[in-house]
Amino acid sequence: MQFKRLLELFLIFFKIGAFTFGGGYAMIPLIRREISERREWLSPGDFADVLAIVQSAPGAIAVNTAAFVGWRLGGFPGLVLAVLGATLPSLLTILIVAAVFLTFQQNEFVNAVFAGLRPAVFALIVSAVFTVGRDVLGRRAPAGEANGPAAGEANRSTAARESSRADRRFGVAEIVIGVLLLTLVRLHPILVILLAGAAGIVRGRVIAARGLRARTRSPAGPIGTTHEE
Amino acid sequence: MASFLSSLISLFWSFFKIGAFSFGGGYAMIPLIEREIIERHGWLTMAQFIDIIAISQATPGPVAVNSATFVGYRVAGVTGGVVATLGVVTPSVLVILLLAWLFFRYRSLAVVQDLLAGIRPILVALIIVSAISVFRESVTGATTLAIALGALAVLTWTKIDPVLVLLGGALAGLVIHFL
Repeated sequence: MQFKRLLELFLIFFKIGAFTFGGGYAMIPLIRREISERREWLSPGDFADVLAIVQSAPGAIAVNTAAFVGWRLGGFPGLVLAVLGATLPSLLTILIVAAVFLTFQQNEFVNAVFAGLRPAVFALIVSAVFTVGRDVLGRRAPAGEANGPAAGEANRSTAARESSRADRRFGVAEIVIGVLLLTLVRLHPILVILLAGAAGIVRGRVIAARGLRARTRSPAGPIGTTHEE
Repeated sequence: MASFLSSLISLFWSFFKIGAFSFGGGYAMIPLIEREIIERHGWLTMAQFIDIIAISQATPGPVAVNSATFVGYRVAGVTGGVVATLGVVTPSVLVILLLAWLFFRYRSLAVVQDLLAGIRPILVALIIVSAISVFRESVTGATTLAIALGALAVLTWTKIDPVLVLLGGALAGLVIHFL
């Protein structure tokens, strides 16, 4: 019984791993279908929470979801098998591609293909700037969305609208400063990420301190607190 | 043998770092891979790295994992590929374990949410910086600039699958080369 479930975990995440093209958000519907529709391993509500967690952790969404679901359903062996399942398809594919690519690297034909591919990759990245930028600056989600109804309601109040404008200003400032630190100062990306996290905590503290005073007057809740309390 | 072992260790460690800080998946960690793999170790050139990004779009799996496998294989064969892939996956598995544990204790931790709210915008900065690096390497003249702008227009105004856009770029490269 236990063995059967472990095998099933492996196979499902192998399938998810095999269809995660380009990585990222595209395969969330696929995971949801396998995990909480076909099998009732996680309720839809739990699935939303899992998404919030796997998006906040570093690493690929598919691998993270595998780790979380595997751990919940099968403990540590479940985690290992699910992560293996999610990783193996790309590992195998890339090993083959790498072997072939290294052989044909000097080929004129292959060079022409990649000369055309590279500008297209540039376009993909620029378009990711737009979509991620919209996600980050447009609303307080993904956190707001993933955190469930409580955060959603807070977003609708006037105080929250006010705060989302402040969030946007903070976000834009951070992006500009971040680009400068990375390009002109040439700080290490890890350091820039850590600084951004620290800035977020400091800002949260300041907002919470201000909110404590505002709360006594306004029933709408403290400005900028999308945290559930 | 000793140098083989030491290159396995530095592969694991480099990709462990990359795995630990690849928030948001995908393009945001391109500057980090660039710093570690291209500048520090010289394991790849920028052009090869962009090729891996292109390959990653057309094959299953995220860019970070694919780069790990590819670089590892190049540096130390199949063993290297497996070790580097393990390196990139391990930190996120550890963090997930920790978060899962925290999650069931405190469903929402204000400090953690503040931290994440601070990190989210920086992802955009990282992606902008990677666009700049990739631009320098990939747009070398009028034809490549035309491909870049055309691809960007298609991606922005249509819902065409990005894989098809890449195929279009590849085709354009071939046509231009053999014209």
